[in-house]
Amino acid sequence: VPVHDSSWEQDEKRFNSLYREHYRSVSAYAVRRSESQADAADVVADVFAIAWRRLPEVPYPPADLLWLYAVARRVVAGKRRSAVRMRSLIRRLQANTVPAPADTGDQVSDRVLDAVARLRPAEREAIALVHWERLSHAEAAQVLGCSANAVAIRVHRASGRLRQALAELARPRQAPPDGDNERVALVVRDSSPASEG
Amino acid sequence: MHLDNVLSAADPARRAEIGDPDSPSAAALYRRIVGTPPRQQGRGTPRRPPVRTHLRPYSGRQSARRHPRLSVVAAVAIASVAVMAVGLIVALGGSRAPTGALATGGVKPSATQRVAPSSLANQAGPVLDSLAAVAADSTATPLVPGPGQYLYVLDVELKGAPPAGGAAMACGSVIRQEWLASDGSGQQVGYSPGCGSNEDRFTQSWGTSGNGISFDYLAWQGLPTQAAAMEAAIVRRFEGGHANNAVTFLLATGVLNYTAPPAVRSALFRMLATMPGVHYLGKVTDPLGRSGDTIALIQPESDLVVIFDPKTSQVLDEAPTPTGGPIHLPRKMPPWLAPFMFVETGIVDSVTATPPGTSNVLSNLPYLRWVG
Repeated sequence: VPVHDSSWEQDEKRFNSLYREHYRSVSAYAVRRSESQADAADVVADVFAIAWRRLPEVPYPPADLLWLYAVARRVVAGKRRSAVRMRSLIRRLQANTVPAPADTGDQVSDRVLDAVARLRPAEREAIALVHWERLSHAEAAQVLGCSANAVAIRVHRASGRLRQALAELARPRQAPPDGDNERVALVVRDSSPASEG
Repeated sequence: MHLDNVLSAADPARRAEIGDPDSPSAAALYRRIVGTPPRQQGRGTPRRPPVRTHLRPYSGRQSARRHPRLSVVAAVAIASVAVMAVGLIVALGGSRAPTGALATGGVKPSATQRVAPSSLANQAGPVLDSLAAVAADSTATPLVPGPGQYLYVLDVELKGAPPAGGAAMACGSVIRQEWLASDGSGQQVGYSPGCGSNEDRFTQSWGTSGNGISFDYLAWQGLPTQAAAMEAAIVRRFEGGHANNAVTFLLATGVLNYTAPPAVRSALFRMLATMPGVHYLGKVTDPLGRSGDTIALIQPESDLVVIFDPKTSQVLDEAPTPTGGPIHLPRKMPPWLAPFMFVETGIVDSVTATPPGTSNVLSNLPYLRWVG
């Protein structure tokens, strides 16, 4: 029975290296874009399963991580689409019976994430790649399949929207009369984009 | 405060527990994908993948004898779709929602075998478009039985000897003939050459109720011929309004061979090209020596594989096998992949008649090579 061909060991060795090198990065990417740890784990699994299946297409370092991010982006997008119906159903079921979940992080971070979530998808992904994955504009452009210029524009717009959104959240009417640390923390003075590519 | 600092502080990854590649969950995932545990960094030698012991739950000869009705309908790929749909709906949660089994589950025995990754990009779109064009141009008459007629199907459900040797699976292999009337009634005759002489043949008939499985396969003729409307129609008509990718895939691929007219079959191919998770796995030759294009729905817990003849767009083989992970098919499909091989179809006038040449085909089936 032809169990596998002679290149299997080479493929496995290469995949092993890819997996070891980038497991954490892909996991972090997935966590940042998923609603739960289970969803994130699903994304990681799909990304590496695709990488194994399409190993000959995976570029060699350092472009391999960008390739994995690009795959992860599509996987996340696919899961979002397919999850919409289920989430809608769950929301309806929970509407009058289950209290809203408590924030898991600190309030400032939750508000920042809310603001990020309200960005346009293309801008959100661009700013996430630059600020969280720490990619240059050129690298982010490879992941997104667009020009570095386009990434720069998206990041610029997203930064503006974020600053505006966070400033609104920090307005005095939303804070206690004496002000607090949270309000101070939300005053965004400037943007510091990641290095240009 | 700089925006960069604000975003960094809010980074969800900072609050999550992200394991390293040697963590148990990461190692389990690696094993599921590759079939072997990950090697430790900087040492060790590549290990050969372990031998696959089985691909799906197997109950020996009982599978052929206790549930012949299920096999019949699976062969025709109509009512079996309903049966499999029920199972899949249960297994997959009943919707198109993503499942977390691949990420959270342990190592399934059935997922231990992996072959070399395919060098093919996902060409499902172009391949399915090509099949759609062939289907649209087909001049073959849809196999719709009229009054007093039957749709005849000869198929082989193959469970060859496992790679480790022995013939423990041999009795599960069935050479099966079915006669199906448009009202749902029919008859099945099966032959399991690997079983003992007392248990190697069976016959079963059923009435219009179809042993409790009611599925109007003639309804396919009324489906839309536009791909965009096709999926919604299938979900509405056959899935009770609850969309499930696996069920839709089974429905669309299973019926392509038989009763649908060319325009509908063409639309089904084009619809498949738009479904998420549908992949092209390359050219594969089945145990009968027939080569075809392999289209699969890859899912964490169920890889559904169908091989199409690129010249006729007909289904050659189905391997609806829950492998528990991505499949990398060998170019030559070994018997242990347990395919349903569709050998002969036609319209006949009685439950004993066969299309011309069938007896010759039957006598030349190399079953001894498969079950020995």
